[in-house]
Amino acid sequence: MGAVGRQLKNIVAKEWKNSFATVSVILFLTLLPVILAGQAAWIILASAGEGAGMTEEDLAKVPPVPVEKLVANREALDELDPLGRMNVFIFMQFPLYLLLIPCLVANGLSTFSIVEEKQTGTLEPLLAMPVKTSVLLWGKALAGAIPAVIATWVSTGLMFLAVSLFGPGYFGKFFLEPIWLIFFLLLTPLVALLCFALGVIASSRAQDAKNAQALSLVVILPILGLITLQVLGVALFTPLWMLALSGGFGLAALLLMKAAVALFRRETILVRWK
Amino acid sequence: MSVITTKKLTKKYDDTLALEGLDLTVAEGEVLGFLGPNGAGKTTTVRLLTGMIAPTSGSARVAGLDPVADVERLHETVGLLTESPGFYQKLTARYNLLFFARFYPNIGAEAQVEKYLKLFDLWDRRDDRVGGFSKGMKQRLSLARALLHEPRLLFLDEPTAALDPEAAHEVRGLIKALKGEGRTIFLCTHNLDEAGQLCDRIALLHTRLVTADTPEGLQARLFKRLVVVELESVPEELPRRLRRLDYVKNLTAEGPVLKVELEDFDARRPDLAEAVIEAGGRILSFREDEHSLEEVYLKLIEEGGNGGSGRPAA
Repeated sequence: MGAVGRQLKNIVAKEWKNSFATVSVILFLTLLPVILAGQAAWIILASAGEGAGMTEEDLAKVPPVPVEKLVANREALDELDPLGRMNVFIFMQFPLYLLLIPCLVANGLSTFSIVEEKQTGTLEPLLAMPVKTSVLLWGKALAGAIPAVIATWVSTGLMFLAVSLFGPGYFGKFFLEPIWLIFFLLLTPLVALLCFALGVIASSRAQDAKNAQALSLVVILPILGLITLQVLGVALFTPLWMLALSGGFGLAALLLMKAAVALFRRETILVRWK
Repeated sequence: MSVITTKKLTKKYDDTLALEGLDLTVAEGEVLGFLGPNGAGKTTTVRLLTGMIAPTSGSARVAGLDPVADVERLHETVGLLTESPGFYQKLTARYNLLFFARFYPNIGAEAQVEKYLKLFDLWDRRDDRVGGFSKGMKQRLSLARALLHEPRLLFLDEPTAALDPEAAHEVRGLIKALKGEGRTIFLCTHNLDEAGQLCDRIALLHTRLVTADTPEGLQARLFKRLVVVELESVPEELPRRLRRLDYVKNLTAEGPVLKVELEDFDARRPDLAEAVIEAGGRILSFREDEHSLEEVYLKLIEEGGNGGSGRPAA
């Protein structure tokens, strides 16, 4: 491992040790994802459950949905009745909603990390170490983004488990759809990084953790906006759209990390940050 | 050989001048006391010399490096004790030091941490959270952190500020020991006793450098050397007889105490004692007039301190 790798490992280890020594951080990291994923599971199961006793006549009234645009596993889709297709359509809408998990967790961890450094006066000795500020910040970003990604994966996995156990059996055939893979492998890490960077920028302007979190919560607005477009039927987020979103979030994450690194310059912190 | 050299080093924050045209050299092994009132630019100078901020104009060389261009290498070379100790309160003393030690290349982090925890009498508390430490313990830990990579040049910014007398005494003892090891120390303080006890030379700052000299040199430059003679009583004729002596330049009498300024001070002091006795004076004490560092400081600030309006360093 090179010098930069060792420094990153050192920063990540300290961040975790320090953050996880705080009960509120652990609660935040575990409860929030479980609540959001639980809500998603409940909505999916409720809509699937209501259809259980439907007659042929009722099924005929289920409006057609463009589920083919979202799903690659056509064979499994062809086996479904209109209600099943509707349920799969609803199930495929949830990746955007679940992006709130990496967003809120990464943002919360970054504001906690930076504000605590400000409050305990550790930034100045830290900046006197032989380490580049970009390495310092990327170390913090990894320390914030990795738990956010893991929390999202685990909670979404639990959601999958719940819909498998308590819902109709066909949901399991759609777990490895491109939409979900893009969600797991691209969108979740990129949103975590993006929201971490926004958290750093907000923390640099705020006096305490509460203010920083209030200021940085603005980060969820674009995601809420996307969810609103989806719920209103204005936009249908197909796999292609999800890839394009990943590209957009990736670019925004890099630009915002650059801005965060600029704000994290020694002189700016020592002279401008209050 | 000088380890710090600055040329016209200047720092402005927006329109406020924090440091103006600092020309200073610090020799290897020297302990330089950097004195000045709050807002005089002491912390700004330390931050400039340690590469934490960039100068508006002027330049500096520290340990042979440019603090702006070689900042990471400089941080590998020098030690800095910041004004506030700054530790992760929920982590142990040992882990805090290990975290900082691991940034330095080519040092045995574990061994160095153990060495300094033992040296600063914190080994028994190594697994306690720093949040439970007293201010004195935190300051010792802070000094340990500054020494982990064995720097030959140390910047200490107000090392005893906010400490109780006992803790301050302890920390001063540690600094004396570091001085004994031949390390170069740049000590920011406004504790005049501390500066007098620890420093080879004192630089007085008030946005710009007012003066720099040894404590004795400062006294000699500012105050005339006088002999203070305390008598049982002053015979009527004595002052007049003494004034007639060709080596007495000036004499004032305040009750039974005479203050005498001499030509060729060191050579003529015995002659003066003899003359006082011959003139019937019974001497209770005979000494050179001494001025405290506080008097020197106040006089210098009064004389040279009107040149700037530095704001307190952030």
